[in-house]
Amino acid sequence: MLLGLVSVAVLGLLYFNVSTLAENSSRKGEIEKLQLEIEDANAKLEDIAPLITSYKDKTAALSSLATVFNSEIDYLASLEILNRLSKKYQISIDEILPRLENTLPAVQGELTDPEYTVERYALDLRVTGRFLNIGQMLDDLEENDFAIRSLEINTGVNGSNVYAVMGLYSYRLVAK
Amino acid sequence: MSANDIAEQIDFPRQKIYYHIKKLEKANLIFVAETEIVNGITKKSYLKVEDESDDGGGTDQLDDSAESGIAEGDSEEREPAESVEYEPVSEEPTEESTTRVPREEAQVERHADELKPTPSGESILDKLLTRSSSATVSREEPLYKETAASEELTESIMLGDVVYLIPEADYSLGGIDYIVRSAQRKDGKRITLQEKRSLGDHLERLRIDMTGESDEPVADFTTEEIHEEKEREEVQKPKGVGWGLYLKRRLSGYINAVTFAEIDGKVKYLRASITQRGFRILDQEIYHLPMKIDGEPIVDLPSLVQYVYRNKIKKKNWQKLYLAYYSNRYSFNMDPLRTPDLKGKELDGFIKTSMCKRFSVEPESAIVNWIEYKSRADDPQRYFIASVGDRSPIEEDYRKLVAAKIQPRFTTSIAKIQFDLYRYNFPEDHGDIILVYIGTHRTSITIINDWEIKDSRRSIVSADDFVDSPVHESGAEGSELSSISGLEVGDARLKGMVSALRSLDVRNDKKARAVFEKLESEIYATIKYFKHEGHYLSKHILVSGIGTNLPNIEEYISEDFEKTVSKLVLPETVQYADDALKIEEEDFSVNIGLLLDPKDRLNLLPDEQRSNSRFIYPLNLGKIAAAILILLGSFVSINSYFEAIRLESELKSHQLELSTLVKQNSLFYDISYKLAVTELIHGTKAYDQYLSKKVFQVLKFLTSALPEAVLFDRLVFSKGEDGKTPVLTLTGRISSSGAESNIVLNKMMFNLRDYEMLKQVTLRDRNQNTDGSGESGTVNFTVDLNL
Repeated sequence: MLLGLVSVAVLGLLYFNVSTLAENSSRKGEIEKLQLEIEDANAKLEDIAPLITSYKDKTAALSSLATVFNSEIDYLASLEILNRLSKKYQISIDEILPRLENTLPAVQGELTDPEYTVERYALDLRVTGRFLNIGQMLDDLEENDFAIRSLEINTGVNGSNVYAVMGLYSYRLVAK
Repeated sequence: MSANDIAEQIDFPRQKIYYHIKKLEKANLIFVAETEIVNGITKKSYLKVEDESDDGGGTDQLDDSAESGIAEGDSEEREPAESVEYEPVSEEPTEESTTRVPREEAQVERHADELKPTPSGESILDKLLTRSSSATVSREEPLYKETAASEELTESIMLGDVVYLIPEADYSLGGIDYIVRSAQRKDGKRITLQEKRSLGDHLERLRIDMTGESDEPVADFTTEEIHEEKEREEVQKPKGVGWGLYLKRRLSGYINAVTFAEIDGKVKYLRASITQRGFRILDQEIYHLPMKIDGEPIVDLPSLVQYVYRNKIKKKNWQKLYLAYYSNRYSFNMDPLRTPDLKGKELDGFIKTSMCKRFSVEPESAIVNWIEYKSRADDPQRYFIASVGDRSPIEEDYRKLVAAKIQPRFTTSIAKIQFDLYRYNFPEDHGDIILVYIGTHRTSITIINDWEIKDSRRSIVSADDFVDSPVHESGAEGSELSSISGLEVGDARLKGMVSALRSLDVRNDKKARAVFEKLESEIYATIKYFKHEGHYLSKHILVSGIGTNLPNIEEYISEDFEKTVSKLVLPETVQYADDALKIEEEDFSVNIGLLLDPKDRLNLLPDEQRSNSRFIYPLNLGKIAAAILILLGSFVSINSYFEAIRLESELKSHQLELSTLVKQNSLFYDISYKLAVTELIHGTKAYDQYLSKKVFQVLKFLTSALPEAVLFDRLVFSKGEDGKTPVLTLTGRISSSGAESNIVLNKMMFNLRDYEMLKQVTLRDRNQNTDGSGESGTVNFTVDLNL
């Protein structure tokens, strides 16, 4: 009887110990995994300072990307430069087709910190003129913050003149 | 005329005469006329109270005077006397008396029977009133110190060849205790408890003889004095029964036990196994020491134990046996003790010193053990019952057995054995009892209150006083039992004593009656002493010992003491194994009594028996291993459990920390995202500008670096179908004569491919027109320039 009691006690203890040790081992594994994640998270926390600095710099730099136009009218008025350049290079502008549709990714709207939203509009020009003049005009347009989106130049339209269709991008800052 | 003489004359027990004198005093029929101190005992003389109908007036003295009115046997005195005995029931009943009426009625009826006229025509009271001349019926013992100082040992007494110094005291119970406790040998040698016991016996004998000679009753025999007025509340029996007790016994290593009970050379051997329900007797035998078996002399208990072990038990089992023995050769004294609130070694030392001092023995010559009793929480003192034994004979026997590789485990006093038997036999009792053990040479009277031994006293009036040829007491100081020649003598006398006791009629045999009354007086005096000491007197007495062979002894004691009396016998749970020899006529209760306390309390073996690893370790090896296994398992379990708790806590802590970090990291991801968006805007514009610049550079290159023969018809720039592969497509012609156009084309292709701004140059289409002369002319081409 005593032997039975002792056996039951020992078996009970054995079962308890084995199950508890297994559970403890599992807990240790989980803790190790958590510790790695914590290390990783801590490392990220260490990197966040330069990240914030960089973000602030980039956000501040956004205001230098373009000119502020608070209305569509102001923006359209700014296209007067096209006439000025066409006169300068004796280029005939056959058509100006501005498209008041922002072509930059919409995710920019999620930025809350910058004062301005950067927008990019497409603009198509149909011009006729000398090839070299068109080239110089393109050079000037680039200096005035326009970017070439597409270009098609056809020769033999009228003597030495060429006919060109220029697709441009112009940038604009809109206050939030 | 003495009380004895009155008793003889009226043919009535002497003790009852004292009882009736008390009754008369209570009924105001007699009163104490004179007191006198004789040998420290107060002797009282009584006078008869003047009766209203007695014209003579005055009082008659109950003393030796033959002229006493009472002694003259005036028949006119009878009526008032009889009415006295009935007086209690005629009183106005109070609340208390009402509840006591049944008992008093019973007593009155009983007394009325006793007072009925005897065949001779006289009632007992008549006899008492008419014939008694003297009756000193109570005494008051002076108080003595615990032990006398050495300078107070002014008296001397010679016993055998030894002179003892003793203090001055009377021969009352307390006085003899005081003398014996204080006694020292005059020769300066150390006195032993055995010697003290002999001295005590001698003084007791003197006391009894003296009281007999002086017509002094040994004790008041007024049963009221040995009864309690109030019932006590029941006290719960201490725990430690059933499975717990059985398990404890198993783990304590006495599942198989061998016991020896030695009383005056008669040794009862019993081997038993302890079962869950009780005991199974496997073997029992009676031996008489000294004896000779197969030429081998066996003179003492250790040699008998060795003989039994060698012949009845396999040697490999020796160490598995629990050996307990009792011997009346050992001198034990038991006394209650109070100590300050000490602990540990301080307490041990205090108890040993106190008890040795109390019995004026040297600590190194005594073995002391004790039981502590519970005290009230606010009581600064601790309470014990302590036993003191003579070290020398106990240790001598112990060493002989250990030398023979037999480990004794337990020996104790008869009082403790009786207590254990009571405790085991009456588990549902209230824990209050008076235990009387009538041994061959001594009678032990023990008071139990609340399941605790409160006190135990001895008297020398015992069984051998009833027989003409008493068995001589064995002991350390030489007896005829040490001689082999006395082999048959002790046996015959012991057997003869039992037969003689059984044949006695203590009511009608004159000598037996006198001894029995003396015995009862001793018991009575002791019980009264217990009451005086503040102990509660139970209504029940349990008797045991060889003296219980006296016919009807329970009935007689019950009748005289007005208490219920029964024999303390072998427990009912004792069973015999099928093949065990059963000795019906012998009482083995002392042997079984040695097995009833699993804690071996009041053990008077030397302390070293508890630490004898040679014995304890092998006996408990399996249990120790199991215990270690369980302990280790438990340790691991506890450790694992706490580790689990710790890990669980750590896990939660990590999860919490990670959760906090994840929240903090969300800022990191938010900033990273916003930064990416910002960079996307910056990058988009930079890319647009870069591409514009590149297109412009390529156009400049085309106008300056290509051969003049090359004419462009169309130039288209686009960002490709996927928007990520900007391509400039040139469509033109080369107008040269003959094969020169091809050369120019090749040169143009060479120049274009050599230009670092272009990633790839592909001639997509090429055809050559022929003129009418059949010579080759203009070459049309289309070239893709990947920027």
